[in-house]
Amino acid sequence: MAMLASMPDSIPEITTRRVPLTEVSRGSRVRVDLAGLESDDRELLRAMGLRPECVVEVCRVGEPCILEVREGCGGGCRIGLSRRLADRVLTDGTGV
Amino acid sequence: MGGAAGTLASVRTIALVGNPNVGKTTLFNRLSGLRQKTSNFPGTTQEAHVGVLSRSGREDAAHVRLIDLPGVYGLGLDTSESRVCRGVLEGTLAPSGEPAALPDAVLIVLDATNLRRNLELVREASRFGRPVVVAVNLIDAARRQTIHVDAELFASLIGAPVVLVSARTGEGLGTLRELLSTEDAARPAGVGDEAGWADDVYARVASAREDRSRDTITDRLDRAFTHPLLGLASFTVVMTALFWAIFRLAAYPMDWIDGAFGSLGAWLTGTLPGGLLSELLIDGVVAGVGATLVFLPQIMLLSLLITLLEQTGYLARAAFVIDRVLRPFGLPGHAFVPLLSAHACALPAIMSARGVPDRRDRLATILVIPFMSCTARIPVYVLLTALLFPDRPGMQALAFTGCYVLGVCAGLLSALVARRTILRGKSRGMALELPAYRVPDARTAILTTIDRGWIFLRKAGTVILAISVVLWWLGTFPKVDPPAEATELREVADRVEAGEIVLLEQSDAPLEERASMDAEGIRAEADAREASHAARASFLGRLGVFVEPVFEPIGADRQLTVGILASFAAREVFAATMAVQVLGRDDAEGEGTFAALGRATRDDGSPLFTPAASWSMLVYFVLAMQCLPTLVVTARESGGWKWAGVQFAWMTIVAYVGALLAYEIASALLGGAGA
Repeated sequence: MAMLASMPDSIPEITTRRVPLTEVSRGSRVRVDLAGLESDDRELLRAMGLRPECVVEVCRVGEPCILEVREGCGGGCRIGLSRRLADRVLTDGTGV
Repeated sequence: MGGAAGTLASVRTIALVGNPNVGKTTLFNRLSGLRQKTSNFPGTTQEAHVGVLSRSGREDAAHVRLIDLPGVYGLGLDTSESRVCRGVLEGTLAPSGEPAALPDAVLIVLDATNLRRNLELVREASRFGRPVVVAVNLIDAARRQTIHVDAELFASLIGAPVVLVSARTGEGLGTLRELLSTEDAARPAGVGDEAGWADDVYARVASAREDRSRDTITDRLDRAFTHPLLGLASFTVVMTALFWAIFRLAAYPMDWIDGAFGSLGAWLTGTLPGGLLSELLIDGVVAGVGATLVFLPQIMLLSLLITLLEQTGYLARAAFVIDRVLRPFGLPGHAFVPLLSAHACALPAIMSARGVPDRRDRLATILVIPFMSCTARIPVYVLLTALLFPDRPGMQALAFTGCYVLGVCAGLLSALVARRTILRGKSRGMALELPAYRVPDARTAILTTIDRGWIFLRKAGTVILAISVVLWWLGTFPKVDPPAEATELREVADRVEAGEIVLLEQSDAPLEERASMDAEGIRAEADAREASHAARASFLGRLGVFVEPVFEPIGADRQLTVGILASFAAREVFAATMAVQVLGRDDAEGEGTFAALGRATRDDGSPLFTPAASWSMLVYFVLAMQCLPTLVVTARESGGWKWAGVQFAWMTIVAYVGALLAYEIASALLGGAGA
């Protein structure tokens, strides 16, 4: 408790803020965190180019959520995610 | 290995590996042309395409054999596709009928427009220690996106040959063929295992303008095609056009095939001497093969259009639209192409369920596919709706449509039941790559269509042929003497023809001509009674009497029971079976047959097709599993007869209960007249 009290107020808010992909607005570029997914889904998305902490562009929100992944693919592959999956993909939510 | 061509020992095997949507199959088709065959990997539902490398003007290339492996995002994933690739690369798995052995080389097909992701596959494939050739495909598309790939640097970094190709335009294919037919593949010494290897290689061999603007056309199309309303509307338009084309265009070749087999049967009847062998050939073999081939145009056209549509990139978007509709019933969006194509024929539909990635989802899809109304049900629907609503085409059309709706509803509810009971488990959310919109490649679509046609002929044709012969045997034996009434009628016909008897019918025809016509009519009546007698005395007829108590509660008598039993193997024989029994002839589509069937009576003199019995039969035929080839394919695709048994038992129970309800409700509503 003493340690927490000594930390600056703003740091926890920035570093722990995690917004589900479903709540990010269209057109924003966000960094994704796949830790909330089950391992099979995580491995599949990783192989599809959606690597942990990679930056994606949100082309469509809702059902499905469409992401353009340039960094992980090389050119710019598009991946569609059902809401069930997109809900579990967390982002930094701030845009890059 | 390698060396001189022609000897078996010199055959080199090259396995093609690549991510989905990298144009691997197009490249495979380009390299092997028509010199390919499709089989399965034993113990799996994965197709194995094996081809021979073709080189124009060179015969010595026949010693290179290509195996097209399923597209995979990673070789370490826990999916059927990945397991197959791993098995082949380890030398423990080979296409059916071929010995398992390590491939001599691996051709890794990469997508130049997504090279960074594809490099992970190079790293994974290199771990198997086989010599490697890398083909960087879609190089033309990459150039349009201002992506440049340095093949020489790439080759020097991985220590294996790299060729830039475009399977679509043919660019680089000559060089690739040369490489594959020689032993220039090399074990990639330069592929590292460290985490940043792919990033490092990508940064060095590929360059792209960083200020590339977003593809707004793709954005707009994606938003439209996946929109809750617009997406559903465009899906409806596309599918209506697809089915219109299938039913409209396939009708011509279907008529030709039908006509050709009819003529062949007639020619054989007139040419061959009578006897059992002729009957077997005409009623068993020709009729059976004809009944199979007549569906071939629909199946090939469906395959062609679906392949073309798939290549445009649209289907991946449509899968998300339909996912919203199917998900509440425990089915994924992937199931929509199989369910859709099931309205033509359940066999290719069940085979196309391979595209459903999750095992439970795939099994649920396969189990409910036969509920969709296939074309084989159409003759039954036509007959029964005509009997229910004679001279009321509007009501006939309504009832006809109702049959399709009932099938879809029963399928969806059955999927829900299966997912809540025997296939309980969490559904995986859908993640699909949305490939770039492309103009489809007609060559690949045609080769795929020919391939599908052969698979259908080989797998279904043989089974249906066997069923036809068995049905013919059951319906023909034991042979019985003609009934006394038929013999008497023939004697009367002889005397009429001789002029000993003159029928008292008004006619303007000359007397001699009348005698001949009258005799012919009497002989036809004798034939009809003899056929009816033989049908009753056959094994199938006797079975009808034995099993009648089972179907009595749903309004069936001995004759309808035989119709149901004969339809077990193939439901389209119902109309012909009823016509043979009731009328003694099998021209169920002939003029006046519907009216005659409507007037037909049971053994106790009551009407055969009461409204309640007709409703009951209609519901039964919508819901029942009456297609032995479908059960065979279900067993094969689900990995055992257990699921085929579940499918048969469930559909039979649902059909029986549905028919019973229909019979009781119709009897209650229509009173004595209905029952």
